[in-house]
Amino acid sequence: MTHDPHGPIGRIPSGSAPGDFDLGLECAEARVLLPRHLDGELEDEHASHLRGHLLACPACRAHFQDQRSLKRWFVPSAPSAVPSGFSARVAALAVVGAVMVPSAVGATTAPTEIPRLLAFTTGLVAAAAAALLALSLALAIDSRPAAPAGLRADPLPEALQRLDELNRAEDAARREAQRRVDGAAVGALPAPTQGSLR
Amino acid sequence: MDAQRMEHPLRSDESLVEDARAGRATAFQELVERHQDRVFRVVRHYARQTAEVEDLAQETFLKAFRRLDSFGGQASFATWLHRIAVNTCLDALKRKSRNPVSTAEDPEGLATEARMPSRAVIAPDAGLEREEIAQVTHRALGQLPEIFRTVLVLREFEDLSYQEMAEVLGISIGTVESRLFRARARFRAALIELHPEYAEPQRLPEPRKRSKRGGDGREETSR
Repeated sequence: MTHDPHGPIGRIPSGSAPGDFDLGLECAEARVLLPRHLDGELEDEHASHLRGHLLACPACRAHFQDQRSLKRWFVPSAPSAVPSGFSARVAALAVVGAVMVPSAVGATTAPTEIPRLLAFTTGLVAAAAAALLALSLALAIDSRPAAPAGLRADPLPEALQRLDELNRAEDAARREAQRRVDGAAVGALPAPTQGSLR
Repeated sequence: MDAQRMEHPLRSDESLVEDARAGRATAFQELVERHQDRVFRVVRHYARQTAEVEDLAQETFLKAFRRLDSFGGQASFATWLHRIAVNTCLDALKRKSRNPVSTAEDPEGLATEARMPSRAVIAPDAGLEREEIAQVTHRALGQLPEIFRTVLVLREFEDLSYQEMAEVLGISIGTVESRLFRARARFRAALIELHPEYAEPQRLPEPRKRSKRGGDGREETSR
């Protein structure tokens, strides 16, 4: 790239020799040239003037050293890890996009929108599936037949029921015997029921 | 991908482009495979979040596929793709209102730079690993407004010339220079603020003679 010598840095005085500090190249001008020099954008003639100035000017050398140090912070880092299957995915999207959106038609949907379109469609299908599932569950609960009264589970086990019946029978027998004792004032009480567990 | 690799042994990029133009997915997949590392490296400099990197890389390749007809072979496919990657990133920044071109994003720019300490930085310690240096730089770049971060990335990582930067950003070469100058000042300040240990003990000396053109504090120009 060629720089316009009449640009913002002004005209670089001609006739100055390298190493001659006072041949027209002021520090301010030198500092404008420094970045160009370090970026490889300075023409040879100007670079020569600049080098001469730097040899003679410790202050500008300090700026030169600073800018050179600054550039050394920009190092290429390790490449980012490319996700597995990236190339296949992109190639498929590109070709599918081209098929879905033929350029001759001039459709408004660009191929770059294909991933977004696919994501939207996937989301839509997922939402519909979820809604269908919820509806099915609601219908299933609503239409389930109520259990008949006879099939209702008894809270007491069968053994306890038998025990209860035996106790009731024994109580009735005892009351009957008491009534007989009270009525006749004579007689023996019936023997206790063998099945009683009390 | 190995199957595709075997299908296209030692074929040139240009030859694969021809097949990809004809709609052969495997040819385009091979092109993606060959260039994906570089594209990921490029777009990573522009993405502020890791999640953005893959999106930007994918968008780059899809855009390249759509524009295959415009690839004339004057530049290499890698160069052509690189340009698309950079433009894709710049477009994405604009969409997110992180304008890499307009100075409106940085209204207090010159005032901020005027307050910066004129301390020099030292080069990275030889003991630092390359990746450690890259992380420090990435963090310092993250402190910069987009317009400055972009010019530094283009210049220092992408190695674009001033002319190329001017074309990519649509600004003049003079503006490229002045923006780079300010960007470096900002980067230096951010680096020293984050890592004071990388600052030189002494301040940078002032110019011996004062220039009529105002010294280092340059305004943007339209050259």
